[in-house]
Amino acid sequence: MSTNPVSSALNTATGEASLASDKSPAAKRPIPMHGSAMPGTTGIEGRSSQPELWRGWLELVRLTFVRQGRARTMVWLAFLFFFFGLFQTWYLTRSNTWEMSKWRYPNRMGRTFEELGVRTSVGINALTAGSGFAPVEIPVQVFQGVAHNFQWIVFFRVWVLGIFLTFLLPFWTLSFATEGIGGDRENQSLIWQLLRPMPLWALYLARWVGQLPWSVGMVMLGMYLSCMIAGEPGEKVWQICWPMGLAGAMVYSALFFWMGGVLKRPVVVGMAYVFFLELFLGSMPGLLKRASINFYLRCMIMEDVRKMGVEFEGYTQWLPLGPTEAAIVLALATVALLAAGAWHFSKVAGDGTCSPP
Amino acid sequence: MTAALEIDQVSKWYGKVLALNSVSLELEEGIYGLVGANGAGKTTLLRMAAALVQPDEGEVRIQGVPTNESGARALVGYSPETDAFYEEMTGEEFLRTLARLHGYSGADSRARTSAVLDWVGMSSQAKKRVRRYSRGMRQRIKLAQSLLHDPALLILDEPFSGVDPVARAELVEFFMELGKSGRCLLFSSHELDEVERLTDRIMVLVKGRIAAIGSSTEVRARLDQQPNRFILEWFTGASQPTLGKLAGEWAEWQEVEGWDRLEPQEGKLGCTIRVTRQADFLRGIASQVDRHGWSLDRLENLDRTTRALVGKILGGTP
Repeated sequence: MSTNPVSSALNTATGEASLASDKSPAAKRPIPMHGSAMPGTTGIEGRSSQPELWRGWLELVRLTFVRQGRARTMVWLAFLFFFFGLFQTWYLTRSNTWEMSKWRYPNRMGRTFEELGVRTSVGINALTAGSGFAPVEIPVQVFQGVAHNFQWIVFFRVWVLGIFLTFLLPFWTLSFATEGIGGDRENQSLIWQLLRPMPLWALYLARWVGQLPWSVGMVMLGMYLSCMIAGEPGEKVWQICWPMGLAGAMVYSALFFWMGGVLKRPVVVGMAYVFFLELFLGSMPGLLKRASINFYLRCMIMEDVRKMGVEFEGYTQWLPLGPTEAAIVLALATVALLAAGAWHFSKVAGDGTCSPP
Repeated sequence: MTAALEIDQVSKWYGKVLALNSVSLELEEGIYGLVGANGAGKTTLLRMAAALVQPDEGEVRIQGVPTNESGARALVGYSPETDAFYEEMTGEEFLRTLARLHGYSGADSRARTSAVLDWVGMSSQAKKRVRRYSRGMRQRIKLAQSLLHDPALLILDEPFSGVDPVARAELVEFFMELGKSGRCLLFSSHELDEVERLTDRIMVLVKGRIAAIGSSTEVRARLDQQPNRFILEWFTGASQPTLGKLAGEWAEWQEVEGWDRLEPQEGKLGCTIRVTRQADFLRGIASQVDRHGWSLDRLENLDRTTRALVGKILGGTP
């Protein structure tokens, strides 16, 4: 005999005695009458609520967030690169890589700044020998001071421009964003969500929002920890660059999420885009480079860096945008990519090619 | 009264492949079986009826609501053939999650989950992870999720696929109950025996078109327009007519399309005949028996079973 209150209510509602038990065949159960057998219908209205779209949407955001963390190859790879990136920053910091004293002038061929400082001191010392002055240490200290104050520039060039923007940022977002819908599409479990009475564009947005804490979180946490590990230069760079990291994570996640929602091999296509198309477009002359996301991310930070006294060779020929304009373009690009992705996904899902039989 | 499901002149292409070709159906409450070979378009038709796939031409309506409106999905329960669950969840968690995705409150989701688990007899297994369920249990969970929102239209894609005979018998009972509950239940199957056991309303889908529809008798009558193969055998003897003499008469019968002589065996002559309009043919044979004092040893319709009939028009084994 069933003791379930809902079943009891249902049985009362259908006017049948309950013979239900787990092992009894269906014939012994009360016949489920449409419109009276389920909670929420005749007999137990007071205990039931009507389904609401917003509740389903929020549940989908929660479900996406929870299931996103489940280990899959790309997520494991993202974590691998996350810890590798932190280790690399720690190792480079420990090796005094951010020091300019090892830099050479002229570039790559000349003497290091450290050697130049010593030689200058020796030269001055020779000139002033017997004059009563002893300024031997001054040039060395000047070079050391300059080198120390500009450590952040080295960190900026090596880590931000060389590692983060070209590899870590796109790869971290790609790992999570392509899995956003792509994972469920590949194993065909997306059908449970497609069956719910939710517009497909709303489903798409819920999935994007649900994966956002992972893709954006990994980028921001990775960037923050790397900067903190680098010490003083990293802290300075973090203050300049975190808005760029956030904007980059948002726009890349919108792009890769779209790929994951509609393409068969989104990771391969995403990697090809980042490591070929972005690099190619980014190095194009004139205005063509403005088709690259990376260009706007650089524009967001370059002006601040220049204001701090660092001049980049050929900067004006690069035809940069102002940081505010670049941020607006990236924000609009995020919205546009989301809208286009939602439209495309709705079309693909409606065509039946999203979850093939 | 609004039909549970209306499919109006629906066509669907996948690239250059025409999956459904101008299909029209109107289903009221009760159980309907959809039969067809692999690639006939069954799953496409069912997914269209479940508002998962939109037609390229025509319109599908569930209780009058066009399926291109997301609200139509609230009116239909669908159990896919796909066996992909959220494997890390327990059966209860899985169902509760789907109820919440449907938009029900936490308390209502729990109540609905409990009710459907109880009904499909899975309450005692509810705390087990889905990945540990047998095929039959997974089918029950699929059925349970399709009932969570108490839909008037239930669509089940290959519900007997891979299920052992015991679980199959239980599923048949579940479906019989649902068929009596005022719902419209449409299911597809390769197993014609199961279809006939569950319903007398059968639809045969061949290459994207409805080839036959109606009761199994009506389907047979419809299929009667298609050629049937009969085998005739009789012992040789002086009083028996020769095949040549019989065949000379058959040549004038419109319902006979042709015949093939069988190799004589153990003093028997025989042939197979392809005929349309079986009744006319059988009357003609009875007349021949009378006129010639013909003693037939065997007269059998090789396509008499529904399985064989349907198999024949499907162009293979269903």
